[in-house]
Amino acid sequence: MSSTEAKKMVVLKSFDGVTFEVEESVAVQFESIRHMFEDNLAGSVIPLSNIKSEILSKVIDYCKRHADDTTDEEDLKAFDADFVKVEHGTLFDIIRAANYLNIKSLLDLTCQTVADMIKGKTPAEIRELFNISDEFTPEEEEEASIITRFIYMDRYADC
Amino acid sequence: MELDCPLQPIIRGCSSSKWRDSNNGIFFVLPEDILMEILCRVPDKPLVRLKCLSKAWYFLISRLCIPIMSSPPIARPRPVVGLYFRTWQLIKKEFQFVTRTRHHPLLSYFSGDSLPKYYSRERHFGHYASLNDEGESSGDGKGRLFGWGGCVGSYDLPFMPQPDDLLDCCNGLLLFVDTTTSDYYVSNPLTKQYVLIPRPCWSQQEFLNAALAFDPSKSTCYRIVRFERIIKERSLVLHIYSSGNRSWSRRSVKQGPCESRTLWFRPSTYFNGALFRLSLSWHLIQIDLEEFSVCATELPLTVGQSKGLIGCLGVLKGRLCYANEDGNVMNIWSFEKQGCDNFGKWVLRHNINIYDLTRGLVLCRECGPPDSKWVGPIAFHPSSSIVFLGTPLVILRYNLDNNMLEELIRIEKDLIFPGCYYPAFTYVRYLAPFNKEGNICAMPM
Repeated sequence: MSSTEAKKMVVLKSFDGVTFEVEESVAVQFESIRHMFEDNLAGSVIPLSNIKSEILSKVIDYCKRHADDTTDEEDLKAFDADFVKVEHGTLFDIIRAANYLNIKSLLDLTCQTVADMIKGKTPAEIRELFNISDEFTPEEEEEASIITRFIYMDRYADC
Repeated sequence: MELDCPLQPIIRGCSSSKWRDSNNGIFFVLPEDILMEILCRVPDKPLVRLKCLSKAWYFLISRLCIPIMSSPPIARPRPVVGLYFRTWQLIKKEFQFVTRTRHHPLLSYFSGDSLPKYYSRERHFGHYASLNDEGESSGDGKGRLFGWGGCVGSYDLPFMPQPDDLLDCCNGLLLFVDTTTSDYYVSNPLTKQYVLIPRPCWSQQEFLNAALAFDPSKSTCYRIVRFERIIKERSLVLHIYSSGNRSWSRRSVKQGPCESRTLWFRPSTYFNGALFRLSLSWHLIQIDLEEFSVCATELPLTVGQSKGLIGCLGVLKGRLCYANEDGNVMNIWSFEKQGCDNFGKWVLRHNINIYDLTRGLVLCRECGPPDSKWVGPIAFHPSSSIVFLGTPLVILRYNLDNNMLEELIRIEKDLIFPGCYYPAFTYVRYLAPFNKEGNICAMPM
């Protein structure tokens, strides 16, 4: 990554020790660590101990694209649509990173992607998609149906 | 879709390890607050369906998602997923019902506060149009038509309401009256629950029209307002049932001569703490439920200009709006309050040539007389720029932002849709169930 004299740079270090040099104009989107480089003198490394380098590089990519004022809206939409076409594991990691760094637009994008995945599917497909194996056991099923009955079937008979 | 951050402390506080023990998959990788962010973006119907996925999902959705999503002030305006509307069976040569006139028999049938005691049930029909399955305002596709019995019969009510017994529909709750006992029923079609509210014991009149006042973004309390007009004393008595204290109260409201003399059209619109109704004197009647006052404002069109059609009142994208046709043009005005008193003024917002718009569509039966044709507003979308237009045969959805017009419903043979005399009720889903006391369980636990 080449650095220009005129632009202030921020150095981020991922969980697996890879450092990334990012322009400050891009890094300002990381709401939760913004104070660290705004208060700090340039040059210090900000450790991000729970984000893998693979994910961090994707997040930085996203923020670079979104910090660029010259990109038109259609291109940005296409970029976003492409950006979320990743494996579920990676998508969840990006969500967690976006949550940790508090990048609102990225969190919106990724959560909406998962919500869209969910909405068109049957429960069985969702179980498969998200690897959910804890179906109700027969006892739990009964418990749940009792609760359901309590919540949904109870009548207001006091008249 | 905007998600409110104040949710987070509540959810974190509710985090409980017992729900997570047996989980894997998405639950294992994502913390509960993010899962909430995701689930709150899933449309209502699939969300409710997800409860059967697993115990953890069940608790997360029914104990956290739905109560938090449904409680004020987080509760968001939801998309219109259906319309309840009336239909009329025509007997041959019954021109009085197809001809447009200011003395149309249906106009008086749907006015006044005493409900009709005798129904000719075989001819008064009602239908429900389900607009799309995912409940998204952007979703397209035609609607599906359901008969009255098949639709309302599935709400698990202890009696079978007739179309005339559906008095109001407000933010996902329906108000029915049982005409054999004069008791009221508040029903949530989504949870298939109802709350029985007996009529006040001191009430003199039976079969009284009532309105439902419910705004989940302001309060989880719902109110039933019965209208009893005492013509001789020129006063209006409001009987108000509040789900908060589960009792009826009675308020007398003074009326001016103008409001007391004429009949009011039965449907009402609840908006910003007041009920609004149209008067057959061509006024907008505003009944303030905080101040208990009544105020009348002239409609922007005269009886003559609107050819005797009363027009349509409702909430359009967060504004109280009135639409009617003047010649070939449909105008939509919003009612804007002036100053701190209840007086308001009409502001013209849209002006649409509906006959140009609908040219080429088959909207009425060929054999009908020329004055049986009409295209008019029948309902508004409370949170989008969408107006539902009706004709004797078809219900259309018109998007004011992009001028898109699509046909939703075509009415079956030998029925006509009297939408220019009686508007449709818009239905939005409200997810939170009632509790044992008949209150809404929407507060975070």
